[in-house]
Amino acid sequence: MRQNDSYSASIFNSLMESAPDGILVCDADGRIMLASKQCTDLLGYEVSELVGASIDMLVPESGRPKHAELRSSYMKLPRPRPMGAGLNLSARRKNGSSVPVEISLSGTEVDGSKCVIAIIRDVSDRRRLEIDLQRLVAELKRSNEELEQFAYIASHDLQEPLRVVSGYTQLLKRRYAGQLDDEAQEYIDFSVEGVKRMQALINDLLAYARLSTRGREFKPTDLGQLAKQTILYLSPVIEEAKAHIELDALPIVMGDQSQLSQVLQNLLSNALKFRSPERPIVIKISAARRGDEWVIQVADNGIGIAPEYRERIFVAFQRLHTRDLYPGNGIGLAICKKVIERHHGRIWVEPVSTQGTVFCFTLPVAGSQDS
Amino acid sequence: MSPYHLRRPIEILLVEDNPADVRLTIEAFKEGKVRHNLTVARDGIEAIAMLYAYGNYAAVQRPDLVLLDLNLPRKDGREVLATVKADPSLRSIPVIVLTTSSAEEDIHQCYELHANSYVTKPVDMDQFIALVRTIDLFWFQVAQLPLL
Repeated sequence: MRQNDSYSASIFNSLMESAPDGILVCDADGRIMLASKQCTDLLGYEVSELVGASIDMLVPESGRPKHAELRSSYMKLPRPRPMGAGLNLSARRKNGSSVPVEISLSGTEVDGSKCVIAIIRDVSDRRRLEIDLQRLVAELKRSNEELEQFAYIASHDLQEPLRVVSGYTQLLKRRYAGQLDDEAQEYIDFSVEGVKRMQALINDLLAYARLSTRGREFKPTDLGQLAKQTILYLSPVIEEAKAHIELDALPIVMGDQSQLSQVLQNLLSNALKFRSPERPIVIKISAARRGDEWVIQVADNGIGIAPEYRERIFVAFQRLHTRDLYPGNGIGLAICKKVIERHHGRIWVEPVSTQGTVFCFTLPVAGSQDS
Repeated sequence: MSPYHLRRPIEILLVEDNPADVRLTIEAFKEGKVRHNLTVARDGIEAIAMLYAYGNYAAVQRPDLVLLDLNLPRKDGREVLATVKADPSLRSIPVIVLTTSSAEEDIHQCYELHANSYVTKPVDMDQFIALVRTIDLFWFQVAQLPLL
């Protein structure tokens, strides 16, 4: 029995002294009965100074009256609980400075008298990290606002001079058409064309920049429904191309509906645009579940993409063909990539041996992640 | 309403700070063969002074229509719009916002301020001329406007 007592005492002592947090034991009146060595590092008092003193000594002066009150109400029902959950607590050190802490309380009874065990953790590092994080978030917010501002400037101020250039070149053509030779007319056409393209580029860049700043909240989104709408929207082109579209069952995912519909539209338009003149066009849209994600596939039998270009096509304004052959600015796939990445997915071109192109993108299965 | 060719020319107040744009608008009206008198205000303060025919602007006619750019020096187009639409003596004048901006927030804000319509300036001269004709057709041949 005695042996057991000394075993317990030795375990107790090493627990007290090896615990990374400071441990204090107080009586019902808040007098400190025991203090672990860690309290010395944390609070600047020697253990001998702590023992016998009132716990209120460690409470910042402003909180002392309230603390005494809270202490006596806790003593009525001393259940284990975190103290001041959600509050930024601090302890007062011997030198008057304060240290951010987290405190867990539990009550027990020794020889018939109640006492409270307080475990005190120094959370200055975490508090510092939290402050850093807040600063970082604020910075990010500011840079997003700057980007918005830039987008506005792009949509207005950059286009104004462009419009003036095209307006006057065209006016020149209208007014002086009879006096200009064919070459001069051609120069005017090229200038106007250049301005229009510049404007289209600015608009595309704007749309691209706004994907992250103007994104909407994720909601349950029926991809099958979106695909049907997209097909309907593109139906004039589909009919003109005499394309056959197979639409398999698609899942419901969490996402930004308008952005995901843009992805489907861009992929489908590409499939229609880059069709092969040699065979009737067939486009197949399907989905398969792979673990925690859906893999959505848009497969066509068009002209295909050479393996060396399969990465490059996702970079903004990269084009593989001349504008004469296939018009466009090369922003569509860059938009797809940015949208899919914003949805925590990936997009790629599947290497296929057959003719055509197979685009795949993943989206998390709804509920599979907490983001 | 009197036949079109018998009508007096329409009075237009163009609020626009960029001289190149002013001239382009004048040319578009000319090319569009719209009978009109055009007065130009180079910023928002001048526009307000002209609308109220203050001081030096006492001779300025009350416009039949205002073409309003948004980004102007001193008092911008939104403020001009708010002033016009807040004043019972001015608010029946149709105000067409004519700007480069196609930003959603600008469109929204202008209609909130009771703009009569919002038009993004076309890049293409042919479209600009067509726009000027459309404005004339709609506001002065199709729509009925209140008599003063």
